[in-house]
Amino acid sequence: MRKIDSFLKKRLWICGVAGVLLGVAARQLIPERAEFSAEIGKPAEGNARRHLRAERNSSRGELHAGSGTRRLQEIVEADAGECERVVVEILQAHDPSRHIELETAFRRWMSFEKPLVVLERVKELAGPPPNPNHTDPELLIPDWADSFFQAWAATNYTEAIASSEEIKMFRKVRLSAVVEYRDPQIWSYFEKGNISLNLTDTSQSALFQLGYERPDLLNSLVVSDISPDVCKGLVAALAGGWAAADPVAANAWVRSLQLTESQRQQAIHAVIDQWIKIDPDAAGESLQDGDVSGTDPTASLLKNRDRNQLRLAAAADPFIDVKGLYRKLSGDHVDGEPIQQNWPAIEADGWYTPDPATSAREAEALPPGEIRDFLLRSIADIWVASDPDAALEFAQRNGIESQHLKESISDETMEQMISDPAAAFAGQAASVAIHPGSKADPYQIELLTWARIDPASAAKLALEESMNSENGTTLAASEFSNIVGFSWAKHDAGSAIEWMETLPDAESRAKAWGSIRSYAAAYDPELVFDTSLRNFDGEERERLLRSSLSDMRKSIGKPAALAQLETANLSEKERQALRQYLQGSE
Amino acid sequence: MATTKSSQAAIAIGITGFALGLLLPSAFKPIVGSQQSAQRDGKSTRMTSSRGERANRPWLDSSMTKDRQLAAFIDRAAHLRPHEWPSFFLAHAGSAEWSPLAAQLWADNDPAGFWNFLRESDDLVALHRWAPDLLTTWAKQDPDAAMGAVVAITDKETGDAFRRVVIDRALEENLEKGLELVRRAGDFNRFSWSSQPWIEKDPEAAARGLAKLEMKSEYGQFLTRATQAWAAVDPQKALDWMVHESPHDRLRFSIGVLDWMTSGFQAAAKVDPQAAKQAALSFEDPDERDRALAGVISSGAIPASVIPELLAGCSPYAQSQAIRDVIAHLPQNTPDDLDAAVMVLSQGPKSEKTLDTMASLASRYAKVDPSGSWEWAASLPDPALRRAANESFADALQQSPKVLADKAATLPATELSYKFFQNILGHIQEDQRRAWINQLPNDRADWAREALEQMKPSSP
Repeated sequence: MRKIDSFLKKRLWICGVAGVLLGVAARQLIPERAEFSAEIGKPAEGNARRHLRAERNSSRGELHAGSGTRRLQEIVEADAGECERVVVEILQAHDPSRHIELETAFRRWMSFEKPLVVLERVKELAGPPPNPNHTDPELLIPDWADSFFQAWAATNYTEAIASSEEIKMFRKVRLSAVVEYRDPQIWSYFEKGNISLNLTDTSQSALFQLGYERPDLLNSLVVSDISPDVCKGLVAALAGGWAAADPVAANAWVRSLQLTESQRQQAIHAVIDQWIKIDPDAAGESLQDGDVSGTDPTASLLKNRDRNQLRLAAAADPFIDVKGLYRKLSGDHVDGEPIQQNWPAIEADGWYTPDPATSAREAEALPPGEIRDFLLRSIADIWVASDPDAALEFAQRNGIESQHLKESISDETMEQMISDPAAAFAGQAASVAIHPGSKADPYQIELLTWARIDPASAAKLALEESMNSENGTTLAASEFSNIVGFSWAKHDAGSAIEWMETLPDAESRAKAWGSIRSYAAAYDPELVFDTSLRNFDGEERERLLRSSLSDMRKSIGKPAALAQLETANLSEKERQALRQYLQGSE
Repeated sequence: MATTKSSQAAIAIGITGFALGLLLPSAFKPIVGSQQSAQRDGKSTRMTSSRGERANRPWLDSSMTKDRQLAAFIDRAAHLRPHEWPSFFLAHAGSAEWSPLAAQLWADNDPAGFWNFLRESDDLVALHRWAPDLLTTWAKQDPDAAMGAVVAITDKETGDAFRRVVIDRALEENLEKGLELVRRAGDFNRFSWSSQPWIEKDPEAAARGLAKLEMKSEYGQFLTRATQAWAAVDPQKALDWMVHESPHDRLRFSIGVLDWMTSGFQAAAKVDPQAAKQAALSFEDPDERDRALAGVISSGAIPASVIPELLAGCSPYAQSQAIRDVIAHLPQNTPDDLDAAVMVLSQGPKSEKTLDTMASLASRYAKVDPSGSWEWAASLPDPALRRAANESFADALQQSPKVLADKAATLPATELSYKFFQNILGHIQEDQRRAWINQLPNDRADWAREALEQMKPSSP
């Protein structure tokens, strides 16, 4: 019986130990769960969510080290001579996409020799920098400098920073490392005297990341310690990064700083550029008078949010598809209010599909209504750039109209525009839709080509078309100016003036002169004064003379304008009146 | 019965043991939070990593040499399965030392997985930070898949940038494949035409391939560089192609930029001027002839005596484009050389470019004959040219402030300008400028004061 008990006990022990061993073995086969929660970055909740999605979506495929990885594995086992050969090979390839490989080779090489010794050897191997005549050594940055410094910093950050102080090629390059390594003395490297020129793209990118990840560090920045040019780029990059995570806080921070107007405008621009991706309404409300320049594109976008809904949706989600847009617009749209947009994405940024045929099919499958029509029109406006015939057919099939859609010019018309432009363009202005802003409009291209090759004939026709308002073929003012001014007077003001002077009536001359004047003045403002004097009478002449004296005063100076006035062929009364005008026009 | 009970007990103990075995390794795991802070703080906290961390991530083990840490990191990455990458990457995303390497290794081993991770992260900052390098690596391995990923981007600005990354890398790897992707790329609102190594590799293939692209393709503008590079190495073949085979319709889309016909003929003329001239004159279409002649004339390889005749056959646009290059190639070593250059310039059209060319000629004259410079300016044929020359001398002659004050006081007012005064004041120390101005006659002093005001930056 005892034997049986002893046997059973042994058996139980064996089972228990075997179970433990099996459990330990099985644990090794389960993916490392602990690492999953060791997430860096923000927001934590978002990271967890995206991680789970990514985990779900990742295929549990076989192990396969890529060719780049195998190269890196070889490099980390290489000796110093092999490292040198790898570096030379990469430098000769001039392939910036191999920067990690280069950095790894430097890191390995630095395990055999001191970084400064490696540096001298690399300088020998690489030869002089690309622009050896440049006078500013801070700009003489070889394309391997960044990889070298990153390797040095990874090998020994403290030594890299201390030793590179006097090495000109690293003065700017090392700034990105200072930021990325979260150096406790970070701002001191940006202070006056350390750097005097604008920041590199890499540094700006690192600063943006710092603002995004560690906004708490920004409070120790003292902008008055930093030179104005550097400060502008520095604050904007930091503010932009912070705004990508917390635009309200970033906005408040920028407004709390003592910045010059241009520094503040650039920083506010950086903030709202991120804010529109998160909450365009709040971004729009935050803007105050003078915050940004009058021509700031993002501010303009915010002011016209109702006409830029697609653009704002794409800024918030760069992958949003047709269905996503439909859902978004359905949620935001108030029935009865028209949905519009200023320009299609091929003219101004916004929602764009490189595959309009597929997007068109997706849009056609949407429920009928105003939103669907708006999306169909938006797709047609994009499609017209790559395939106008398909876009037009699609629009007609769906009953869509748009000012950006136009019929293709037939091959016969194209032939005629090239072989006999005067006949082809006569009367065409009204029958062919012209959109000066649209890209590569064949009509415009042919017209401007003709204007370049035979400016006198093109100008003659343009004038006839523009003066002929009875049959509705009035040429757009911008079109006339393009032909007579941009295509001709800009390149040969003298010939354009000679042509203008042959025109029989004052109205035609005035029309032509209006497009020539500014280009002629860019060559010689006195030529404009003399031409106005010769060709016009009465009030028109007085207006033109005053205008040209005023331009002359602004572009070259009042004494030159007065001298011109004193020698001009004018009556004393007229001269006196113009002199008084000039004296009082300051 | 006893046997059955003992079997059940054995099974129960076995299961318990198995469960214990599963849990046992976790008991020796480091605290997760410490890993996070370790990564945040970079190098300083790596020094304090626990034994568990060191075992799990030997590259954090400070007792190892740096190069062994690096080797361990790369070795671990080489053995990661696709589903393990997100956590591995996130665990190093805050480390300046490891994050770029981790990103590169993930891109190399599972680009689609990395892309999906970024795409689904809802993190635009991460997307813009990591996607360009990822797409470069992906386009090397599988350009079609990389292109398939970026055409799904519907934000124009982001899409423009990322499509460009993929296509440019594909063009580097395989011209034909790259051009195939260009056809799928659609429209770009922003595009730079900086030099592209793939053109230099085989300019003839590049020219022929680019010529077949859609007319509106932004990439078509690279034809300018391709014909230039091709004509420089094989002018006759390039000329034949430009005259007989090239897509002439495409020229119409080259308004306002140096087109491929002009640049191709310019490069060919530098090697074989006679052949280029004959080929240019063989065009019947006035637009093509104009562009080709502009290239031949601006090459600097055509005898000066022939240039006026060729220029007369060009449009004003082509003349104004070509004349500066013509003059740049003329000898400029003596006053007579410069007189001849001015003669050519004054026979050309009047435009802003003419004044720029005049300024550079005057700058040259200041070196060739400094003492005769002001007199030479006074002899120029029209006031606009005289003004441009005087502005240039005020800067280039570097004469004493006293001599320049004398010139500012005595030259005709119609030949002076704000720029003239600003060029002088630029050479005078700030604290001495007012004194220099005060010695001028009143009207000239007022003029100089206004010029000085304009020199001040408009914003603080």
